[in-house]
Amino acid sequence: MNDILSITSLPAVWTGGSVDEICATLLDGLRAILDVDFLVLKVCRHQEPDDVLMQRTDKRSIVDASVTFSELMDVLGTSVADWPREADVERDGSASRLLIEKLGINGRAGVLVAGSTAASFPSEEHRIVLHVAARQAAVAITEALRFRDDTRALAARELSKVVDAIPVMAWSTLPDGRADFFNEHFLSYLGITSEEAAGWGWATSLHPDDAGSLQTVWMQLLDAGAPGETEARLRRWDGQYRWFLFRANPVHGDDGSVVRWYGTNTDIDDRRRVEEELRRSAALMTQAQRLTVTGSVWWKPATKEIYWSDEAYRVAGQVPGALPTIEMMFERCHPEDLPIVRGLISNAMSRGENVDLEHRLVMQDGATKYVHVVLQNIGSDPEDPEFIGAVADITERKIAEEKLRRSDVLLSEGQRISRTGTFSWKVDTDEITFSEELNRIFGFERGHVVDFDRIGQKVYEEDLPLLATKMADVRQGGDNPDYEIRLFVDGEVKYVRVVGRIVRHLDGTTECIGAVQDVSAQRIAEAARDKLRAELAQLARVTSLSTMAASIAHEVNQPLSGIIMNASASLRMLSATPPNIDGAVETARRTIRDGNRASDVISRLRNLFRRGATTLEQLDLNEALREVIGLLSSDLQRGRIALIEELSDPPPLIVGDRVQLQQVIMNLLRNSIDAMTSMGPAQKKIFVRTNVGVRDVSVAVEDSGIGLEGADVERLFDPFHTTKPHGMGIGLSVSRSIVEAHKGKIWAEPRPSGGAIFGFALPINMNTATRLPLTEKEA
Amino acid sequence: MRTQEPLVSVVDDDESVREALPDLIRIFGFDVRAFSSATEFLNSEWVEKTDCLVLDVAMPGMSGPELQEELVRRGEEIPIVFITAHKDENERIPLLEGGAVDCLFKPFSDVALQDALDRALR
Repeated sequence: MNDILSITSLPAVWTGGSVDEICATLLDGLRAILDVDFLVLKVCRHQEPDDVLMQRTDKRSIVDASVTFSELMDVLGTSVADWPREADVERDGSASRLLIEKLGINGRAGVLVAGSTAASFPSEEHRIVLHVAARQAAVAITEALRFRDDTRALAARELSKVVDAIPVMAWSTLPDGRADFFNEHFLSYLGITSEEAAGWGWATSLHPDDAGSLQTVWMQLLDAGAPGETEARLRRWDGQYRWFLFRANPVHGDDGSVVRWYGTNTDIDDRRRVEEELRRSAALMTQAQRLTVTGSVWWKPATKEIYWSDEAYRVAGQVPGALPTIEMMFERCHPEDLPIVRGLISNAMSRGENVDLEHRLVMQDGATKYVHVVLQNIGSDPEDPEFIGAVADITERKIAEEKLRRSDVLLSEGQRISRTGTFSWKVDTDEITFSEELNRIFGFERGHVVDFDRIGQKVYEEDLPLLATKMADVRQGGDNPDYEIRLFVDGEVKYVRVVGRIVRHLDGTTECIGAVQDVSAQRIAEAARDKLRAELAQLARVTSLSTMAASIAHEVNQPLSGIIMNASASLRMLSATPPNIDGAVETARRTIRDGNRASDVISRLRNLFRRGATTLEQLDLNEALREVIGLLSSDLQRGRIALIEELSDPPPLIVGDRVQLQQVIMNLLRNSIDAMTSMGPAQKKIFVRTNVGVRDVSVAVEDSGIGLEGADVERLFDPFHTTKPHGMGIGLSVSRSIVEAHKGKIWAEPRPSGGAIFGFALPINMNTATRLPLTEKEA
Repeated sequence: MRTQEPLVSVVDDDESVREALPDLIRIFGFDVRAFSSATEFLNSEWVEKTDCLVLDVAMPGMSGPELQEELVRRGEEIPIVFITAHKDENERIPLLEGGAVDCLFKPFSDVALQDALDRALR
C-alpha cells in the first residue's frame, strides 16, 4: 500500500506547479511504482492543440511520444472518448496489454495509457494505482489548466489596457489587409465602434484627398509583405481632420507567409503644421530677400563661423554655397572703400561693435554696386560677439537718389535761370512755403517764415486789391489761371507773373500750388521795344518827309507858278491901254482855279501828315492810291518813270487807317522808283494794280528795276534790313507792322521778266477793331 | 507884222503852265506856241521857226535836257530858258553850262521871265 500512499501524496507536490511539471512528476511517480513497458500521457482539451504529450518507457524503446500515441490511435481509433479501458495490441512483434485511463469526463482533459508485455499485467493493484493516479492527475491538471487560462486571460487584459493606454492608435489586420483590431484610442478618435471600423469600415474616415495615396501604399506593402509607412489625414469624431503617420509591420508565420499586420497611427498634425509654417516662412523669407535684394548674414568671429543666405551670396556677387570667409567679405569691396570696411569689421571682431555702413562693390563684370551692410551684435558676452545682420543691394536707390539730387539741382537751377519761383499755400492753415528762387524774387532771406503780411509789404500798393481778389478766388476753390502784379523790392519795381493751381488732398484740405515768374526784364524790354518802334515809325515818316520835301515843293510850286503867271498876265492886261478886260477876267479865273489846286495839294499833305490817333474808316484803296501817286508824281517825272495804273472796278473797299496804308503804298512806290535809277528810260515802268478777291483785296506794285537778286526775301521786312547803301531799312518793316495790324499780309517776289513785285493783301471784313501798333501816343 | 514877231515855244506837261505862260509871253510882245511834251514839239512844224524855247526840265518821256541834246544833235541852235519846280542848284548849274540862257525856279516872277526872254532874243 506504500504505492497508493505515494500516489495520494502527489497532489501536495503538484500544488502551484505547471501542467508540464504535474505530468512529469505523475509519470515519474508511476514509473517508479509500476513495472510497465511504457507510459503515455496526453493532456488535451476538446478540439484544441495538445498541451502536453509525454511518455516514459523502458530503456529499449527510443520511440517518440507522438509516434507512440499515433500508433495507439491507429489501433484504437482517433477518438479518445471511444477508447476501451483495457485492450490488447501487437507491439514490436509481441502482444502487449494496455490499461487506459481517461482524464476528465470521457477523456476531455486527456488520457493516460500504460502498456506491458508481462503476463502479470495488469494486476488488480496496477488497475487501482493507475486509476487513482489518473483521477488525481485529472483534478490537478484541470486546476492547473484553469489557472493557466486565468493567468493568460489576465495578461491579455493587461495587454489590452496597455494597448489602449498608449497614446498612439494601434491596430491589426488579417493578411489580406482587413482590419480586425483597433485600440480604444483609435476608436474614440474616430468616434465609431469596433464593429463599424472592422474590415475597411475605418477607411471612410480618411480625408478624401489622402484615401487614394494611402490605399496605393497599403496595397504595395501587402503585396511585398514588407514594413512601411505613409502619411494621411483622419477625420476626428468632431469632423476635424488631423495628419497621422501610418506604420504597418507584418508578422510572419513558420512558413514565411504573413499571418498578421500590426500597425500604429501617430498624430503628426502639429508637426506637419509647424513644418508647413516653417516651409512657408522660409519661402517667404527667400522671396522677401529676393524682392528687397537683401541677404541675411550671421557671424561668430570666435569660431570663424559665417552663414550667408542665398540672397547674400547674390548681393555680394559670390557663388551660392561657397564657404563664406572674412576675406570673401572684402574680396568684391571697392578699393576706395576697403580701408573703412576693414576698419569696421576689425572693430566688430575685436570689440563687438555694431556695423552699419554703405559702400561700393565692384562686380566681376566691372559694374559698381552699392550695398548697405548692417551687423548687430546679439552675443551676451562682449568678448565673444555674435552678429546677425543684413546686406542689401541699394544700387537702384542710390541711382534714384542721385537722379533726384540732380533733378533737384536742375530744378533750382532752372528756377534761377528762368527767374521762376514756386510756392505752396495750404489754404486751410495759411501755411506758405516759398522756393529759394521765390524768396530771391521777393527779397526774402532764406529760412524766414513767409506769411501774407510779409508778402503784402512787398506788393506794389496799387496791385494789392488785385492780389486780394485772386486770393479770394483761391479760397473759394478756384484756380488762378494767370495774372500779373508788381512788386516793390529793394527800391525797384518788379513785374511778376503768377499762376496758381488748386490741389485737393485726400484729407479734405486744399493746397494752392503755383509759380511766380519775374518778368521785369521782359516788360522793360517790351516797353523799350514799343518805344523804339514808335520812334522808328516816326523816323520813317520824317525820312520820307525830307526826301519828299522837294516833290511837295514841286507839287505846290506848279499851281503857284500858274497863279503868279496868271496874276501877272491879268495885271498887265488891266494896265494896258486900252485895258484887256476879257483877257484879265479869264486869267483871273485861272488864278482862282490854280489857287484851289494848290489848296488841294495842301490838304492832301495835311491828310498824309495829320498827327493823331489811328482812325479806322471805310475807305477806297484806289482813291488812297491815286492820292499817293499824285504826291509822288514829281518823283516819277524826275525819274522819267511811266506809271501804269490797273485799278479794279468795283473799287477795293476796306476798313482801315487811310494814312497808315498810304504810307505803305508810298513806301512800296518809292522803293520801285529807287530800284530803277540806273535803268534806261524805255525800261522805266511801274505797274500799280489793285484786285478785289473773295475774302481780301490786294495791292501790287510791279517794277522793272534791279529786282531782288541776292536779297534775302525772308528778311526784307525785318527792321534795319536794307539793300540800299544809304537807306534806313525802316520802310518795309514798318509797312509790315501796319499791314499785319490790319490782319493782312505783305510779300515780295521777283518779277519773271526782271524787277520785283511788292504787294499786300487786306481782309475785306474787319469786324473787330484792331489795335494798331503805330498809334501816336503823344497825340 | 505879227508874223515877224519872234516865236517863243513853250514845252511843259503841266496844263496850267501851258495856259498861263502863253498869255504872259504874248503880253511881252512875242508870238507863242505851247506843247505838252518834247515829242510833240519835235514832231511839229515849229521847231525851225522857234526863236526861243521855254522848256520844263522834268517831264514824262523825254526830259527838257534830253530835248536840248536832241536839238544840238539836229544842229538847231535855239536859245533855251529852262523852268523847273524842283529848286535844286545842282541841277541848274549843269544846265547853264550846257548853253541854256537861264533856268527859272517855279514860281518865277513875270519880270524874271521877261528879262530871260529879252536876253535870249537880244
